[in-house]
Amino acid sequence: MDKAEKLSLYLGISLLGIFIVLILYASAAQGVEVPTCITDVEPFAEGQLIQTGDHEYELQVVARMWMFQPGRVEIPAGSELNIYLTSTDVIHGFHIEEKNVNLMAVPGTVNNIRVKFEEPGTYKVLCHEYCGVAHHSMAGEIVVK
Amino acid sequence: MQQEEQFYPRGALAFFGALIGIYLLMWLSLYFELLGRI
Repeated sequence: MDKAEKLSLYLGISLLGIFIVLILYASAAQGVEVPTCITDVEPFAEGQLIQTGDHEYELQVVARMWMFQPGRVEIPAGSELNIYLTSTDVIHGFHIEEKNVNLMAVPGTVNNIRVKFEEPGTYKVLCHEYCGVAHHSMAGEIVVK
Repeated sequence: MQQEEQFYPRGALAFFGALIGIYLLMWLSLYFELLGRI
């Protein structure tokens, strides 16, 4: 093999190696989770916030044209939210600003992710999947006090 | 007899190196943005 070819190949392989190591580090050491579709929970029709422990909450969110239910949630700083998301009509998006939360709300299924809120503030929740004429107004908020 | 100069693709390698460098920079900036949102 040509010397220049070898060099290019090693550069490319090293880059892939760096990416894989960093992804494993983020996943194992930093706890970055990939959203999961869970099949053992029946889709629910009403959203609610349930306290499951000290600074631990389960948030059941229903997305529908054109709102999230509950639309506004208040939790203390340092809380961990276990979010379950479903939709009653069409496919919606569920993105929490400033957080690694990007879920799809799909009718008939429940998606799940865990997220921790350390910093107080108001975190906007936005629908990022076009869902009809009032899609742009579909938003909610999580208030961390 | 004229001796042939050996060809070495310096330009192509420099371009490939720059491509890798820019891609690494973009990837790492997104990666640390992700870690910052935990």
